[in-house]
Formats: sequence, C-alpha cells, structure tokens
Amino acid sequence: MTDHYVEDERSVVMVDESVLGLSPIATTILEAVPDGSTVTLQAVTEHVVRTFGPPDDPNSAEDLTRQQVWDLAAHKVLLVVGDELSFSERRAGELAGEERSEGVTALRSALRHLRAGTAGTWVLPERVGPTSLVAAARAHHVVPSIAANLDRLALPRQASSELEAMAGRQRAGAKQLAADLVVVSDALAAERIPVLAFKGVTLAAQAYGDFAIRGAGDLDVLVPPQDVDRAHGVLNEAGWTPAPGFPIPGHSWAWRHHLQTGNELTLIGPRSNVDLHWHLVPMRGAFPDFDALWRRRTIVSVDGHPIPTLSPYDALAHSSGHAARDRWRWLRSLLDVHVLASDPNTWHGADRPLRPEQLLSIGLAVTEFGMPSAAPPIVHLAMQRVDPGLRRRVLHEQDGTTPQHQPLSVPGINFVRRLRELDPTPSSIAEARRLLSESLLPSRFTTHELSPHAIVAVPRVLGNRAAEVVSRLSDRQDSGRDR
Amino acid sequence: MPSTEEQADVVAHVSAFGVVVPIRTSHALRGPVLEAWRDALTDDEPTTDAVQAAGTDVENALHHLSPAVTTAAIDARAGQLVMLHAAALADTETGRTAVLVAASGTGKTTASLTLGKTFAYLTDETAAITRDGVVLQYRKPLSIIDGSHVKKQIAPSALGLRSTDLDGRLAALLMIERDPGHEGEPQVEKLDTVDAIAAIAPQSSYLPSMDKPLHRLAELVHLVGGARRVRYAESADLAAVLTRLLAVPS
Repeated sequence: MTDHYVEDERSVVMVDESVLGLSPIATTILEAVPDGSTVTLQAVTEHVVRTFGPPDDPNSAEDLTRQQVWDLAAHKVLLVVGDELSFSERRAGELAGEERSEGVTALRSALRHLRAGTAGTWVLPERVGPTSLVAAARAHHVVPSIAANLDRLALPRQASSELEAMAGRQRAGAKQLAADLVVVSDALAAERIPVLAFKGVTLAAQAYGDFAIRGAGDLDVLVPPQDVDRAHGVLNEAGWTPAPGFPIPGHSWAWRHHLQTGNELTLIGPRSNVDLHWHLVPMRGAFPDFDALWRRRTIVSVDGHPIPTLSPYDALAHSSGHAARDRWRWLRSLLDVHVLASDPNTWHGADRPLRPEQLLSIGLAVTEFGMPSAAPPIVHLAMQRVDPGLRRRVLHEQDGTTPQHQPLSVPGINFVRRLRELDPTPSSIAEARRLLSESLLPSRFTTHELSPHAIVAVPRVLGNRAAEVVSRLSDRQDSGRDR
Repeated sequence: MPSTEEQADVVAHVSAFGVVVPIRTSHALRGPVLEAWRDALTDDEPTTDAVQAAGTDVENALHHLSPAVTTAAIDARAGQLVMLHAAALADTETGRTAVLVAASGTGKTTASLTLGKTFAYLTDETAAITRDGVVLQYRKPLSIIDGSHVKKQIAPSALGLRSTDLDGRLAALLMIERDPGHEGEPQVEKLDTVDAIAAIAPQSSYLPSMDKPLHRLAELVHLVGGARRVRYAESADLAAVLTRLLAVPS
C-alpha cells in the first residue's frame, strides 16, 4: 500500500497503481491494522463495533467484518496471513458434516455449469452457506477456476471476495512457480539434458490455456533415467537442495536401489520444490519410455515461456492415472481429465489403449461434468463402465476430502493396491518385484545408508522398516481401543 | 555526402513545465517544427536528451513529435510535480488558473480552443502543479483535425489563444465531463476530498513515484477549497463557470 488518506471517516488508498475509495467501515478496519502488524479478526471486529455499534440482527459483527476484510484482501489492501486471519481454515473446520457435503455438492454443480458452457448464471442454492462453498473450492483445489468465472456464478459477496482474494494469492504463487520452472528448464537444457515438465503450471497451461488456473504446488519434471545424476547436480547448482528422505547421487547401494525401484525424488528450493522424475508414476510399463515421450512432446507457453511437456494424449493418460491413484478424491483432478478428454486434439495422438483405471477416471469425469460434444466412442464406453457403487464411494470420499494428501495408515496397503492394478503379463512380474522391493525397503530408510554394498545396507533397512510396521500397527490397535 | 543522422540537427529548445527539451530534425522539417512550437520556444539549455521529429511527411512527423516531447518532460519531472491529464487556463489579469481534468479524447483540446480566447492558454495536455500550487506552462501546439486522418499541430498563438506572463496559480480543480445531451447550464458538483482524489488519480502521471501521493492530491484539493465535477454540453458553456471560480475571493 503506497498511501492511505483519511478524511471525514472515509478514505482512499493507493495499492500498486490503483486508487480505491473506502467506506467508513473499511476505513475503520484499515485503521485497526497498522502497517506491518498482524491483527486477529476478533480484534478488528471489536474495533469496528466500538466505532459503529453492533449491527442489526440477523447480521453478526464478525461475519460483516469478515466480508469487508475479504473485500480489502481481494483488492490487495490487506493481506490475510497464516493462522491469525485464516478465515477459511477455521470456519471450514467449524462446518458440520452436512454443511460440508452440501458445499461440495454445490461445487460440483457449479463446475458442471462452467464445463457445459451453457448460457445463463449459476445460482448458489439458498440452503448452502457461502463458507461451505468456499471451503469446498479450497478443499478441491479449484479456487482459481471458480474465481476466474465469477461472472457466470451468482454468489454472495462474501464468497466472491474470499475466492478472489485466495485466487489472487494462488495465482501469485503460480507466477513464482512459472519463473522457477523457466530456471529449471533452462539449466537442464544448457547441460543438454532433455526435460519434460508436467502437472502443475505446465498442465494448467496445456489444458486450460492459463498457467495459473490450477494454483501453485511443486514443479514436476521428467528426465531420462540415465541423466538423473547429472540433472540432480544441475539442480543443486541452480539452488535446489536434496530433500530429507531421499538418497543422493553417488556410489551407495541406497542410490542404486532408489533409481531401480523409485520414480522420483524431491529437491527443495527457496521458493519452490522440484520433483525430479525418471519414470512417470504410477507404475513402470504404463507409459512409453522417455525417448518416445520426448519424440511426441508438445510445447506450451507458461507465462510466456515455451516449455516442453507431454503430448496431450500422454497428459490425459497421466492425469487420469494420477486421479485414480488419489481415488478421485479431488474434483480438480477430474476437472483436468474432463478438459483434456474434451479436446479433440487429445485423441489424435492416441497410440495405445488406456488402462482400466485411466478409463475409470475418464468415465467418472464425464459422469460428473457432462459428455463432451464429438467425444470419441471410448469416452462413451468409459462412462458406461462407471459402477454406481464406485461413484457413490467416490462422492462420499470427495465430501470429506481436505486439501492435503493423507497417506494411508496401513503399512503395505499401497503395495497391495498397486499389485492389484498389474496385468497378468511377464513384464508385470518384474514390476511386482520392483513394487515389493520398494515397499520393503522404502527410500526414507535408505537415506543414511552410504555403503555401496547391499549385503551391508539391506539388513539395517529391513530392521528399521520392521520397527516402523510394528509401531504403526500398535498405534492402530491403541486408537481402536480408545474408541 | 552527409549521412541521414548528420542531417538531423537540434533546431529548437522547447519548454514544458520547467523542462527544456531539444528537438532534433531534418532541414526539411525545421520550419514546420519551429512554427508549430513557436509559443514554447526557449533559449535555455536543454535538461533532457533530444527528441526526434522524423520522416518526410510533415503532419505525421509533427503528430508524433508532440507526445514525444510530453513524455520526455513527464519522465524528467516524475516524483517532483503532480502531473495531470488536463487543460489549464488562467485569468490573464491575476494568473488564477483552472485545471480541467479529463481522459484523453474527451474534450480538453476543444475546451482549450474555446476558452483560450478569453483565458490564457497554459496547456491542453498536461497540467504540472508544484507543491504550493503553481501551474507550470506547457504551451504546446494543439492537435486540430481538418478533415484528414492526421491531426495538424497548430501553435496556440496561431489560433488566437491568449497568453500570460504571470505565474499560473491553482484556483480551481475541475473534473470535466462533456455530455452532448446535457441541457441548460453546466452542472457543477462539489466533490468530497476522498472522491476527488479517486477521480483525479487515474488521470495523473507517475503518481506512485511521489512520496505520499494521495496526500499531495489532497493538499491541492484543499488549496482550491475543493474539487468539482462539471457536466456540460458545449465548451463555451464553461466560460461562465471559470469566470466565477477564478474570481478573486472577496
């Protein structure tokens, strides 16, 4: 905020190059938050009530103040930070289960309206509170998508302001991410390491034409397996350091094991994390090798910079597999699949059948958001394969989902699930061995094993893994008794 | 044979709200430049780099020269002066000045053409105001459409517009809005300071580069006893408004 001028209880502020007139209440709120300070909503509300008196019923002073605060945040006059003013987190936590469920149902309906492209404005049902919808949008990672289409949605002002403010922050994060992606891409290209960016801002640019529409997260890049060591070094030089829980390149058994059984590792930077992949998850053999993916690559513009990425069909295959791995709990994943599947260009590059779980994702996406016009027969088939029982379970899981990924608490359950997904083919035997090795000897236990010899490192790792399994099983027993 | 660059010489120094901008041009354009800018010429030494009037088409060259001079002057005074997209006209006897703020293409030049026959023409483009309310002159040529697609640049004195040697002293700050459908006398509405600032700010240059820019605008608003929004049909209707507002307070 460059300047703030107050006269006769009203004021005007300059933010960046914009000048905004403020009402008496907004002026009072701003005066309650001195420059550089952090103030709770309660303190701000008390100040407003002292100045203007309590509001008329049925409005609550806190709700009215919150609405004004979100308006100010949407215009970048105030910054909503951490726990001090984390309205959405706290209020979302106060929502009853039914309120949360209604919010998610309303969100699905809103997204369906937006995807259908029909004329007219979607109206939030009266029984759904603005907090419920905002909480749902946040939980399902679609805040920027909703905020970008407020002109097609009739929402209470509180919800619109809150979504706009949150979207503004997420888009700013995406812009930083995009800048870091350019650094990563250029650094690897300078060392002649071919790299394909995917997910995140890259997928947003590819599917939606707007690199910031999916918000911010990590940077995911894929390099050839034989270049992982070099790529790791290049990223270190560029400012990203190895994250805990992953071995570092070298001659250790741990590093060899991770390359053979794993798919990715994480490097931490000052503003972003890079997930460096050498195979596309969820499993080996589900995708062509890097050379084939590279030959089919496409170039997308991420904040004006050309970035190589997967072909549209490969992106659809990856996104739908990823959505399945996450049990379709986030609407954004299904939205990604729907957008990609709706583009006729995606299907021009279809060179292999989609796997069953990928087809399920497509089927669930079109069930949710509508059948695209001119969809190829495979999309219709995918929709027919959606079992009503599965859909009910998916909806139930979506109702209760949170923004963060929650790892399954039963040791080995991921191994079992992924084993079930294997086709009964000879190559699956090798994949099953890899999965077993990864499950028994996860990388988080191998990080400190520097020995180049398996015979030295493996027994120690197995011991630590066994201890963890016992501990987690014991915790589950204890929590069951406590209930 | 001399190169094209060597043929372009500095042919004039023009004064724009205290900035002296040298104009470089070819021999062929020298005469037209001097004629169009004759009311802004100065012997003072330049305070910016030269701007170029280039090309062989006179009207086109002069058409592009005006914004180039304006930009050079605004850049030079960024952070120092309040610079508004505005016409400025002064009482020839007292120097009391009305600044007429309006967006591009909405009537500043037309108002200057009409009112400049009665009041002293200080500028039709950028009103630059010091902290203590002095409105600095910028007697640039006015852009007049004579039927061709390119505007002609005509010196104010060639249009019969009046001048003054007095310092312009800010006495009225008007947001002008031309409405051809408006009937009767101009509608003059006094604005609250906050509303005036919000209305004026979008029509300013380099405001964020000033220290406490909104406070600076507030000072100017208070200096003139409040800014006003004026809705009118024809520029000539504004004469009476200016006469009233620029009258010396009794």
